[in-house]
Amino acid sequence: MLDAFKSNDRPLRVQRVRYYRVPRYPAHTDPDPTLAPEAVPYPWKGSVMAAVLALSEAGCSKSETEASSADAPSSKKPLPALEAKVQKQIDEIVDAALREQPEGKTNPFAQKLGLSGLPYVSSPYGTGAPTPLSAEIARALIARIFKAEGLVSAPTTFAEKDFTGSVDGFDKEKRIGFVIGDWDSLDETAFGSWMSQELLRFASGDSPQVPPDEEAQLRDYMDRSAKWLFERTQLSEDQKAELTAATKLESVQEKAKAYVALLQKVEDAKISMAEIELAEKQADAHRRYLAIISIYDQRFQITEYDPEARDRFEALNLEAEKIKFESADEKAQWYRRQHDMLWTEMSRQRLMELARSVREYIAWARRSGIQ
Amino acid sequence: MKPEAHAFPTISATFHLTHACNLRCDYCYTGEKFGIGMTAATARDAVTFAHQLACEARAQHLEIVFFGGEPLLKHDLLCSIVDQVRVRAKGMRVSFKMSTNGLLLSPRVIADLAAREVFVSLSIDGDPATQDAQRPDPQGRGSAAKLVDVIPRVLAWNPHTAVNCVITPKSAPNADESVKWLFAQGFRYASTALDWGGNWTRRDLNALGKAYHRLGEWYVSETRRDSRFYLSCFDEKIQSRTRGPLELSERCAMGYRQFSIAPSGLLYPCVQFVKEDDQHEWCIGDVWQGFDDSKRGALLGCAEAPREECGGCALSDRCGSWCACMNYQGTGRLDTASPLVCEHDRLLTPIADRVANQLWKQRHPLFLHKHYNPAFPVLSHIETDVETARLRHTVLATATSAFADHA
Repeated sequence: MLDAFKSNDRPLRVQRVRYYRVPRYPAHTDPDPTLAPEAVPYPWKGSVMAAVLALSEAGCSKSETEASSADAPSSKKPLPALEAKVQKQIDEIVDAALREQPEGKTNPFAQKLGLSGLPYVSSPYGTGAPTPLSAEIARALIARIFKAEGLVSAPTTFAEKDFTGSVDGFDKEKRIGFVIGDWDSLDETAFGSWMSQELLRFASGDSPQVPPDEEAQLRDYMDRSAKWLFERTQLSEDQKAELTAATKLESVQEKAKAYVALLQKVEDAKISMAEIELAEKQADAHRRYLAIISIYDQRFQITEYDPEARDRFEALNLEAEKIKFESADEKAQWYRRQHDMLWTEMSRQRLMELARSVREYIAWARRSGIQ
Repeated sequence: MKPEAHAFPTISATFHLTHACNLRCDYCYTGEKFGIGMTAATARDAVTFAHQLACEARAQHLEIVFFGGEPLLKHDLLCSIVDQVRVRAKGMRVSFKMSTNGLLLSPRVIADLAAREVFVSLSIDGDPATQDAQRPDPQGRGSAAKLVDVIPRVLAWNPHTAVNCVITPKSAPNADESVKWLFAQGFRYASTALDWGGNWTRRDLNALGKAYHRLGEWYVSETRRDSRFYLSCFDEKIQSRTRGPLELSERCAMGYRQFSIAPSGLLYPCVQFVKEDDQHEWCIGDVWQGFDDSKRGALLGCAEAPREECGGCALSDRCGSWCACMNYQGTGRLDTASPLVCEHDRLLTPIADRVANQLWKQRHPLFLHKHYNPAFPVLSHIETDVETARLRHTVLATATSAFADHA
């Protein structure tokens, strides 16, 4: 009888479980853990992602290759990758813009609107100058929108009779592209520097004669201006040699002429104001739509004189008055943080405005006749 | 007891094509093997019956399952039934499944099944030694060697092919090795089941428990390696918590949702009752006169009746004793819980929960999506198809339609 009750020989039986420790993993009555407290993306296998990317690149790469082979590739230096958080912000803004439906009734970048800020002439005084649109961010944002709209945005250089210059993104098949108007892409007539005006004045001999004891100072001033002008430009080896030669010239007028000559060569490769206006006028006839987006476009820059910015900064000041700061340093830090947050928020709003405008432009170009 | 009309979105009809089989598995519950099969005329009437039933129930999906004996012994009849159902049930979603020992899966047969989109699950009990011991042919010879070419051939055709593995008291100590062997052959979906009618002792269950522990460690390590697989013993137990107990509409419902059509045309509530097709106490009608509703209702009422011996059990919602057939195999009654089922579930549930707790503690993404994302079966299907280059260029089309079905 004892044998029958050895543990392994006891007969099997139905037995209620009185107490069972509740498992820790969520039950069907608990919140979905793939969604809360934060979303857990599906862990696609690497081999699957690679296959999908290969499929999508195969679909895109053909038209990109065609676009870049017909026209010369852009002579611009490739930009370094944007910071991850900036790229993330761009993605969020573009995704939000893609959810809206543009009307496409007008060209939001038409010069006649008077919003582009062109022609732009820099001031020798920096106080109160607006914060321009970041060209780098704008290029990345617009390229993303182009891609989402099924358009290629290959950098392309045009060397035509009525249009010479580098375009930041162009779809050769659909005949639509964009240019970020800045010091690198637009010439003096569209983006003027007070320094180059001075050089022109000296080169032409219109300036009053400089006393001999002031010539050295003037030469130094010209060299520094030229350095500022040309350091932002990609010069060929020959052009770099020309620049070096110009810095060694002693005569003020000769130096000015050399710098102006070099400037004209460099500027010839850029897009002029006349070319911008003509291209806009001939867009329908030539079936080529190029949006020129200046970094000083009023809609996309932030200035402290902007009414909205002014109100927000004023509100910030009023809020600061209610806070008891323990030290001046703490107050300064607080202001800095608030300022940065406000600037980031307003930048975001401006970038959102840019994204909407680009979509509006694409919709308008489509209504005008591109595929 | 009679379920509400239109309570079952899926109607599942199992066609027992023959009593004959080319194996003599120890544990087989389908009874004696003899050469009587379903005739073409009975098959035609059975198709009519199943289709009419699905239409009357306004089912969204008609599932046809082929069983036996070995259904591929009636391969031509099987193909004919598929073709007839496709013609008759136009406009209704239909699917076809079969369970086979695989010995008759020649390239030609696979081509016929592939053309008709019949989903095949193979019955293989594990490594060759286990397979030979538990699934011999009528002459007592092992069947493992004949499957050497079949497994890769079937998986090359369909990488989603499932494998059914029966664990007996003899194979229990090595159950983990059997399962691992099957996954090592390339299977991704494995269903394990006990020989519920077997002569299990506590010693056998203890050995099985140790095997389950080892298998649980394997499950955790494979999941951490982001392997996609389904292992029913753990996944069903985990899902009993993450998705809750099965509703009546998801169970067989003793012939209301799922029923068997014997070779003679008689109807039975489950495959386990067909046997030699002379079990008239379990017969619930035939394909010509339809169901005997009073008998069917009585069986369901008996199966669904609360079991006093289980009252107040903390695992009652997660236990397999809802299956009246498993209870019947253990006790001879539908309404009495099987001691084997109870002991097994009390053994398995804590092991499965320990596995799940480990993976939950890490918040492992694959574990989370497998058990909480209803789209997981579709997504993992797509992954397998892309990986095996099976539908590489049509994967988006497949995903679109699969998502529509799943929604």
